[in-house]
Amino acid sequence: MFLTDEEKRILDGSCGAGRQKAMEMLYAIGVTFEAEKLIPITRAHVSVSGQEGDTYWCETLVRGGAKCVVPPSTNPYWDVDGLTKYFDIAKEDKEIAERTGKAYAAIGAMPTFHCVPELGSNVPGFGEHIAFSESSAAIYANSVLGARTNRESSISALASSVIGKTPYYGYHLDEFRSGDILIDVQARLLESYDWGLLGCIVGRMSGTRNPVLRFEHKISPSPTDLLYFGAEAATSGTVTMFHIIGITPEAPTAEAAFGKKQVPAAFGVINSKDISDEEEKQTCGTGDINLVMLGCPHYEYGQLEEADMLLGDRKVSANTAFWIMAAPEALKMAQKSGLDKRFALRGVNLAGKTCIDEPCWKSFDGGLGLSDSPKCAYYREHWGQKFAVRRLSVCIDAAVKGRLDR
Amino acid sequence: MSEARIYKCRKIVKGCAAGKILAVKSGKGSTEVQADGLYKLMKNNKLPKAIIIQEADPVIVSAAVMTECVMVDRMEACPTDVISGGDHVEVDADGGMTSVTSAS
Repeated sequence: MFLTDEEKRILDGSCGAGRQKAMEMLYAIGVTFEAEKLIPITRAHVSVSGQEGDTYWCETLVRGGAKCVVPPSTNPYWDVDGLTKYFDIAKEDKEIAERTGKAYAAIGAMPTFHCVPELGSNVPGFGEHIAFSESSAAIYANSVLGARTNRESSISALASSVIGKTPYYGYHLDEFRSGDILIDVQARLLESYDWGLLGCIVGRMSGTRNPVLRFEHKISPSPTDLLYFGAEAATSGTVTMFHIIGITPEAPTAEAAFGKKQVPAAFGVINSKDISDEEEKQTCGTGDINLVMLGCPHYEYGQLEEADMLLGDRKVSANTAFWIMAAPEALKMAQKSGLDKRFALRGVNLAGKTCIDEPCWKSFDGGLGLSDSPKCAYYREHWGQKFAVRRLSVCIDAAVKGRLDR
Repeated sequence: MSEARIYKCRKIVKGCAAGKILAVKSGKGSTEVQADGLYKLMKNNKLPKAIIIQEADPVIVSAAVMTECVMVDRMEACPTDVISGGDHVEVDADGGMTSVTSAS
């Protein structure tokens, strides 16, 4: 891989140990994927997790004197000040969270703590070369916004933030962005939730390939629909980019979506029964629920209002906790409008700066949880909590009863 | 012990390792868990001596770089097909060679 003289100086350690580590990371990735060179990036997003691995990497760079030249937006870990009031948190988990906050502040990252930067705090334009980790953000930036990013890890994205560059390979190049398989969609999708279920199926069908969706009927998806679709396709598969013919910017036609390749025969067809079957596949069982968890990805204010309307005057069962992870702007708006207090009176709690995949939720492990997000269910099950997956209206009815009947 | 079969491979993270070798098809999971997984192994002195991967992706490669775990890809044969548990495996990342001696 070609390096400029300045890049070589960074790699040999002349510009400090932290920048050297970051450059070693980019160089190794570049060589592995046969990048021709490094190219400048205009934005980055780091999927900070509060897991010790990425905190260790950030601390290592900070100890070596590194600072971000392209300050990245950041994923949430968990709101230490807010949530320790509610839960007993193990000392070591709290310490890692505090180390995380300190390390990312020291390196000069933006404390956005939001997993949907592409719709709020760090929105790239068409054709921008960026380094985004958080798989749901990378797929949306590529597919819906037409920005260019590989599926970065939190640590490679942080290295790019420090150097201001990324290896020029993969989704930065036209030939890797075109479609690989064609999928016909006959299913009628009622709300974002159904788009999420479609994403689960498409992700499994696609693996690492770029799916091109051809809908039988006219559609006009919202940003949230496309966010939910991409988040699930990137979780059940390793999809980094999708096209929807007539909707996403690099797919005005099937021919455009497939670039220099021939438009292939349809690889598969997805109908409405497949969507309802998928919901059952995602659900381990029914019965008493100890937690309803929404906001994976983070809820926007409109979704909070929808939950408010569906709950109406009812109260959440005393046996069930109800938590919604909200985007920072949504949380601020809820505080201004008084929605946060109205929710609290009915047993619904809002959490900002927080992910579902964190140790602060450990106390619910062992019971049955309920979410409108298959991605939430997938990650919570790693912690030892089984989840059922249902649309928002069903989640709310179940929360009031403290029980999911079907 | 039977004779070693030698396969060409490609260096990702350099080094020479003869000991417990992890042969995998690909990484799996979100954009941070693999870094954390390898980090925890490193912290507990349990890192594999080397990782032979069939399909490298940026997430697992960056995790190997961070932990300085020897990693190779592009082995001539699929590593999970030609390596079985208990085989004696030596990886020479710098020389781009992997030798496999069957346990049986």
